[in-house]
This record gives sequence, C-alpha cells and structure tokens, in this order.
Amino acid sequence: MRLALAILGSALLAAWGVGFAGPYEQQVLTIAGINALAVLGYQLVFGRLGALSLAQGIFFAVGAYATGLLATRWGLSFPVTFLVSILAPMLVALVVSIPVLRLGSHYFALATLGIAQLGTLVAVNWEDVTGGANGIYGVPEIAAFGQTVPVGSAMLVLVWGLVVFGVILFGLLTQGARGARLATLERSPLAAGAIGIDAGRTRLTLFLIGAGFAGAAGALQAHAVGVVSPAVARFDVMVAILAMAVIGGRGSALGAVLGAVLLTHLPEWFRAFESYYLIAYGVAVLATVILLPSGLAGLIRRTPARPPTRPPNWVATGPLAKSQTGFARPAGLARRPPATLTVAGAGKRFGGLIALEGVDLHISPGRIIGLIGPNGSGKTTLLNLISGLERADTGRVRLDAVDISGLPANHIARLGVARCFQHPDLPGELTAFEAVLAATPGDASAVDRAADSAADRAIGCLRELGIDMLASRRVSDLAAAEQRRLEIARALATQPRVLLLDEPAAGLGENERVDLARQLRQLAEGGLGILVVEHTMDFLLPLADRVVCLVAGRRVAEGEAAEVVRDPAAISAYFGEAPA
Amino acid sequence: MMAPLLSIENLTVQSDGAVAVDGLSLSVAAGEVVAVLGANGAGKSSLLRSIIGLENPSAGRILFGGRDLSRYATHRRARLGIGYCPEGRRLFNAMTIADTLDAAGPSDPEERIRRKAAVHDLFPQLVERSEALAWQLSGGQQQMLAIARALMGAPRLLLLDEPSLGLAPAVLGELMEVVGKLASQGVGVLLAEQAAARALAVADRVAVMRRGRVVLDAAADTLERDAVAREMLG
Amino acid sequence: MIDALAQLTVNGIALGAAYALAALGFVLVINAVGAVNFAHGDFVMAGGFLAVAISGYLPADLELPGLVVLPLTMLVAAGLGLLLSLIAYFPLRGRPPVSVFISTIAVAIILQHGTNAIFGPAPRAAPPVFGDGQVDLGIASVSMQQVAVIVVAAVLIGAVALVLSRTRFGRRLRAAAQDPEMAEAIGIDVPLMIAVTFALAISLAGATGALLANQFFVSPDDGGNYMLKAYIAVVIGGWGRIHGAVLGALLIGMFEVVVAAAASYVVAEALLYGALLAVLVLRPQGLFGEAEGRRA
Repeated sequence: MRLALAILGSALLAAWGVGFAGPYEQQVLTIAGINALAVLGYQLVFGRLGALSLAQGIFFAVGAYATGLLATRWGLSFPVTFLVSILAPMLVALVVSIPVLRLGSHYFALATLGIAQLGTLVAVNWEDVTGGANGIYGVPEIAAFGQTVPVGSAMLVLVWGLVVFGVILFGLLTQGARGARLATLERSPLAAGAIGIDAGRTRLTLFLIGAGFAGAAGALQAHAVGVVSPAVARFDVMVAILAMAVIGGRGSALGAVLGAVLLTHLPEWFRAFESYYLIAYGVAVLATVILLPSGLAGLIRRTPARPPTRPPNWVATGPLAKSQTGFARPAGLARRPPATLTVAGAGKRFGGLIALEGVDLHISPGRIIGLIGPNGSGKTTLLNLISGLERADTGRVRLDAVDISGLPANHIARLGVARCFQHPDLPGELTAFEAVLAATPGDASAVDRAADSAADRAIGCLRELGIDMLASRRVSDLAAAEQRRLEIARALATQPRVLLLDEPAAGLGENERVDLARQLRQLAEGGLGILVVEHTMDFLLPLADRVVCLVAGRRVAEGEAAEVVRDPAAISAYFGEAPA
Repeated sequence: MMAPLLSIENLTVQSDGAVAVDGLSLSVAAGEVVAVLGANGAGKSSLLRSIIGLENPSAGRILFGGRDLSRYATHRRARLGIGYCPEGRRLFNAMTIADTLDAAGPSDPEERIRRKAAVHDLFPQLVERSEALAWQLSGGQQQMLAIARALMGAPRLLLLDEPSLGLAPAVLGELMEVVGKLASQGVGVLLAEQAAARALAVADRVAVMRRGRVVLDAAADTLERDAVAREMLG
Repeated sequence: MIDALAQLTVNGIALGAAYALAALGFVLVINAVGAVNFAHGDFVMAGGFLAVAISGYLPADLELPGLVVLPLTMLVAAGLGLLLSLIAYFPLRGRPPVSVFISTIAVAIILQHGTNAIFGPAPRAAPPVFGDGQVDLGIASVSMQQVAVIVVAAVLIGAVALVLSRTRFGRRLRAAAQDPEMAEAIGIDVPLMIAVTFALAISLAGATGALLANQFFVSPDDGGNYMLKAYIAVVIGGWGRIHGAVLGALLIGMFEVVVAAAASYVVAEALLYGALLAVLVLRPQGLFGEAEGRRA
C-alpha cells in the first residue's frame, strides 16, 4: 500500500512537473527526486538496519565527483560514468565496512562520521583531482545512445523514473520474508541469529546497496546542476538526508519520497526568511522525533505481508488428526530428518565463577529431555553453548556426527538446532505470520523447495501450535502465552532437527499449559528431539521422557522424571542445602 | 493489634505481558520476618519490585505505614523507609564500598556517620575493604554490601530478593543471622527465596507463592519441609 | 630546536586543555543517560558567542572583562543545558538511544543556524580572561590567554573530579549514572540528577567556547569540529571513562599542534581520523582502557 503510494505519487509528481511546472519548478522537482534516491538508499541502512550511518552524504559526493571527473576530463558517456558513479561509492563502502560494520551503535556513527570527514578533507584539498574549492565545472547534460536528456522535462522524467525503479528495488529488498528478517534483525538480534539470519552478510549487502543509491543520486545531481562543488561533501548534505528520512518516516520508501519532496521545497517556500529556513529544518526534525516517531509515512499504516488465503491441501486434517496417524507428516510441510544432539564435557567459566563443568547431555530423536536446576545452576548457559550464543571453554557439541562447537549462532541454526528464549524475543511491529515467515529458510540448501512456498510453511507452523487464527495480529498485541507459542512456531519454521526450549510454560495458565504439553508431545512423536528447561514441575514431569538436574554447573542427577524429583541431591539443591 | 507495617491487598502485576502477581494479599508487621518461597517464575521478584515501585500494579493496593504507595515514585518510597536488595545485587560496580554507602546515606552528615557505624557493626568485613570496588568483592561481601546499602536509608521495611544466590552455606548463615538481628530491632523483613531451608529457619511466617498467588500462608514453626516442597514445586 | 619543541608543547597543552574541558561535559552526558549529545560542539560554539554578546553589555572601561564574562557565560550555558534536557532528552526517555542522537542533531542545526541568523557568519572574538600579552618563559613564550585556558581548564576539571569523587552529591550522580533503577531504589531522584548533569555538561561546554573564542575566534559552523574532537577523545580514552576522555583530549590537542607544525593542519586532521578508525578496530576499549571488571 505504502509502496504503491510511493510509486503512484512519484509518477504523478513527474507528470505534474512535465505538464504544469515552469523551468525553475521543474529543476527543484528534479533535485527533490535526486534527494529521494539518496534517502531511499539511506532508509536501507538507517531505517531497516537501525544503524546510524553518517557516511551517506560522502557516498553521494563520491558519485558526484566520479561523474564530474569522468565526464569532463575524459568525456566518457553517461552509461559509463553513471555505472562508475554507482560502483565507486560501493567500493568505498566495501573497504570501510571491514572495520566499521561490526561496531556498536555509537561507534558506528562516529566511525562513519570520521570517514565522511576524511572524504570532505580530500574533496577540498586534493585540488589536482577535485578542483579544490572551485570544484568541477561544465558537467554536460546526460547523453546516451544518440539521445540527450536536457535539464527540464526530460531530466525530470528520467530522475523520477529512476525513483520509481528505486522504490521497486527497495520493495524487493524489504518486503515479505526479507522485510520480516530485517525487522527481526533490527529488533531482536539474538533471535535473528537463532533463526539462522546471517547478520554480517545482511548488513554488508544493505550498506553497499545504500551506498550505490547515494552514488546514483550524486551522479544525477552533477548532471542536473552542471557543477560539482565541494559543498556536496559537506556535512550539511548528510544532515539533509537524515532529516528527510526522519521526517518522511524511518524505513519507508514512501517516507523517503515524502521527506525529500517536502524538505527540498521547504527553502523555496520560506524564501522570504532567507537563512532562517535551516532553523525550521532543525525544529521540524526535533518535533518529528518527539511527536511523530514514524514520520509522515507513519500516518499511513504499513501493509503487512498477507498470509496465503488458499488453504494448503493438507490443512483439513489438522494437528489432532495428524497425531493419530503416528509418524506420518502432512505432505505439504517439508521436514528435515531429525538428528541426535550430543554434548560432551561442556565447561564454561565467567571470571572466577564456574557456570558449567563437565556436563554431558544426549537428546535423541523423538525424546523430550527435561533440564531442571535451581536459579543460576547453568541451564540457560548450557542452552547458549549449544546454540552458539556463547563459546564453551571445554567440551564438544555434535549434531549427529557433525561437530558444531564454536560455530556462529546463525550457522548452528541453519544446521538444524532451533531454540526459544526465556522471554519471547519477537519484533513487536510484525504480524504473527511475518514473525514466522522471517524464519523460513531463504536458501535452497536447507529446504525441499518443491514442497511448498515459504508462506504456506509459515502458516503450517502457526497451525501446528494452534495459533493460525492469530496470523494477521500484531505481535505486540498478543498475550504472553500466545507469544510463547508463536516463538515455538517460529522455531519450527527453520525446519529444526532438534529443538531447545527455555521455560516455555512460564506465565501460562492451566489450560494453556495442557495445550502446550500436548503440542510438544506431538512434535516429539513426529520424531523431533526436544530439550525443555523448566521450573514448573507439574508441566514438565508428565511430559519429559528423561530429566537432567543441574546444580552449580554440574549434573547431579539424571533419569526418569519421577526418579529425579525424588533424588536427594536434586531436592537438597532446590532447597539451597549443602550437597550431602 | 497494631496496623501492619506493610499491607498488600489484592495486588495484580503484569510483567512482560504475563500476569506475574495475581490478586495477592500479604502483610508484614514491624519486627517480623516473612519468607516468600517459590520456584523461579512464581512472581516473587515482581512482588518485591512493585513494592519499591519499579513495576506498576494493574490492580490492588500497597499500604506502607497506612500510606497508599501508588502516588509515591520509587525514590520517595525509599525515603519513606523501604530498603530494597534486588536479585543479583545490582551494585554500583565502579564505586567503592565507602562511596556506595555514602551515596545511599541520608543528607545530614552526622546522621550519615551514625548509619555507617551501625552498618559496619553488622558487617565488619566491609570496614576492612571499604576502598575496594564493588566488583572486586567476593559474592558474600557483595551481598553484604547490597544489604548495607539498603540499610543506609534506615529502613523500617527491608525487601530481600534471593540473597542466597551463589553463596556458600556458611556465608548465607551469617547473612540470616543479620536478618534476625534486624528484625529484633523492629525492622520488618520480606525475604523472597527459592532456597527454602535457610529461609524457614529465620522466618516467623512463610508464604508460598505459585504462579503469582499465595498458596500457603502460615507460621514458620507449624510447617514441615516436605509440605513446603510440595507446595513450591506444585 | 629545543625552543621550538617547548613552544609546541605549550601550545599543545593549551589546545588539549580546552578540548579536555569540552570532552568532560560530553562524557558526563554519555555516562548519565547513555546517549551521545551531538549538539555538544555547537554548545561550545554557542558559549563563544555568548561570551561575545555578554562582553558587549559590560561597561567599556571594565578591567579584565573576561573574568566577569566567563562565569556569566557558564551560568547562561547551564540554563541552556537544562533546556536541552527538557526538549531533547526527557521526551525521548525510554526510546532507542538513536532517538536522542537525532534530537541532538536537530538541536545542533538549530543552534548553528540560529547563531548565524543572530550574529552573522563572520568570526568573532571574545575578550581574554586575564588580559592580552605574552609571558616569556625563556624557552617558550606563552600568551596570557593560553595561561588562562590551562588554568581555567585545570581548575574546572579538578573541581568536577573533586565533586564527583569526594562529595555525597557526586557519588549520588555516579550511582544514578551506573544503574538508574537501583539509584531510585535507594532514594536518589534520578531525573533531577540527569537534569543537573546536562546543566553541568553544557556549562563546561560554554566555558570551553568562551576560552577558545579569544585566541581562535568563533564562527557559527565551528560546532561540528568540537563535537568530533570530544567524541574522538571519549573513544580514545575508553567509552564512558572520565579520566580517559580528559587524557584523550590532551593527546588530541598535542597531536594536532605537533603534526600541524611538522606538516599541515589538513594532514593533522586526516591522520587524526585515520587514528580514530585504527583505535576502533584494534583497541575498541580505548587506548587507556583495560578489560572491564565484571561482577563475578
């Protein structure tokens, strides 16, 4: 809806500009379109990754200078200069991404600012190349394939045509499962790793594409104005792009277009106030951040990805019917063969504190293992070691024969170890359907592609937990119990070969727990091995095939559920008594 | 009988969207040690946090010395005389013991010196290490500092959340002695614990919590360990 | 040669002392609210113009007008700091830290262009604190204003350090910065502490501006430069470390003066940003930082 509005609005603006505007207005509108392109790219990094880059302005300048130099010095034609102007800032972005992209928020902002400052210094002081304070004059109008694109209507149409193209590209990168993954990565980075999202690769991709957008905008600006002055490298450009993104609406293509059009025209409308309009810029940004956190585009609700309306053929049976057929899986829901997870001698210290020592664990397909122990006994640490959130000091973790110890979390998740967190870690602004969609494997390696579409699979997982009727509800509107089940559904969407749950029954009512226990039992009957960390004994004991009790990082008891709770070591541990 | 020091009426607290405390009523008298026992997730921490004002109840009242606390911000509740030791201690890690106690003390310098002396009497170990940073202390000393910090405000009610966590039994014994001493001086103590054995020994009264509710509320000496265990684990 | 080195050292210390004063205010806000005040440098700039404006109201025959201007500038700046917290921080409490980053960028824009609208773009000079003139130290010659910068910075930084480490108020301020929730729970009015921190931080920024605006003049677009120097000082010194930030700022001042003398100002700037990136990659805990102590 918002994407469509952005495309429609861009087309209408261009049409109005061609039909009714005078040359000056056409030029302003052209610049607005150029800004919209730069802001679109910025929305990928700042809006979608939530990374406050302050280098977008300098990427814009690199594009402008590349076009200026190549067109005036060597007289290269537009297709070549435009391509180089897009690639050059991407190359710069690639080089700086190595030190910069892994930095935390404040460091990232400063590092990108430092790069921008270096760029400004180069633009002003490397006079032989950039023309120093004078800049580069006489950048020709666009000419390619025997056609020239004079400034005015033709340039206006070209620029806004590229904006439409940019919006479509933006949509491809940020809609559907991709968009859901980005939202998960921004809001819950830990959970993103746990469902197999490669944060590093995603960040790099968007950072580079964002730089490419800025380069294209810079190139067009050089053609539109005919001059590349060092003003394009000033921090003001960055501030303008940021202001457009914030006021238009963070993360939205419509916001990029709205912000660019509005703020490009602001100085024109407030011409009588001369330099005061820049103060108005600041006031507008401040007011937007405080009063309208999602900007102007936020006034129109985002259209969430729509769940499929056509029910897949296997749905009619439903989860209950399914369980009566034993191990048979619904035909449509692709599964990977279950695997055995083995932990051998896991140990972990934090400073002087022993969190885990010599812990063995064995989860075979179709079995539910309960993990109990008093607060601070190392249960969650053990889950973190298995799922790759923390590295073990000693010991190995194997999935079947594959040694997965020390692999990054997202890699382990893609290999088939899924986990849920003690507090459901879900991005609140997504719908339940989108939250699960984010976890559906994006690459062919992990999936039987022919089986069903990602959307069908997401709905199937919701249904398996009995919450498919919540598919279109926003996650933040769901009750805690619903969120817990949603998180398990999301874990299932990764097609796990073994499942780890951290206190899944916490905060659940009596009936909800009975339901959850039944659903977990069904998953186990389907062949999945499940580890359940739990304190609620009346939930765990009837459910678990075996129970392991940890105390102070060591395994003190293991066996049938009923045996372990009668085990004297386990009982005294729970009551804080010294081990006998 | 005098009005209780703390009286909680039908308290309901939502935490992370889930009901953590569910229509709970409980009271603590001056000089009384009430142990709230329960497994992890039973709602003990939310109960204590809502008394000091770090979580907001969705229903019910908390009265302290007859005052309804709902209109008091957290720092004003502390000044009314409620001391709070959170789970995991949450010390100011980059500050020394002396600085921590000073920051928590009253504004009148003489009164502050008196409070400090009283706290040092209870925990002589803190005197020796008064220039050590909080994170350099042993677990037991950290817990002592957390309690000492709460005592600097001369509280009439002390909230202790899982003080036993990560402590050796001997150290815990020392701490429980201090709790007993404080109660004999008239301080009301609300002690949330998972480790029931020690708490049972020091408590006058026991309330067992499960899923946000008190399922058992009785004088400590009438209870047997196994009964408490059954109620806790459900 | 020795003379030249001595002269450079004096100049470097004077510049570094001013940067240190700016960095101190910057890091105080970071510690108190965990957010970067992007407008900090623009408050340094505003301090310079405040000093210019205030000196305009003083009787012309006043001896040493700088001695009156400096405290008045700090007072007005403290008020601006309070205002900053009210419009750009408190409404955004509980939102992601990036919100404060953006709101302070907005304040920076307003300050820069507001100053430009009032005073115009031309550089202005504030009156010196101890008067004009040079002090000859034999191997180096120091201007009275450099002496003033070093003395005022040392006194203010020393005073802040003393308050933070030796008074109950300072300890409560630090407690509120380290764990606001627990500080509340022991009776500290945390929002009050935050407002006071903003006032103090911006007051220090104002003092920096008033000091620098004599020797180096001040113009409305100077803010970004000071903000960057403070930001870099905090990174070099180890995020959130007050001593580190002050040391880092001294180092930057020294570095800038020496490299500018050996090569040029542009080279000094470029190398500084290069060094910043190197520190971020190789020693993210800062040059003077050690591995954080964790509670066991």
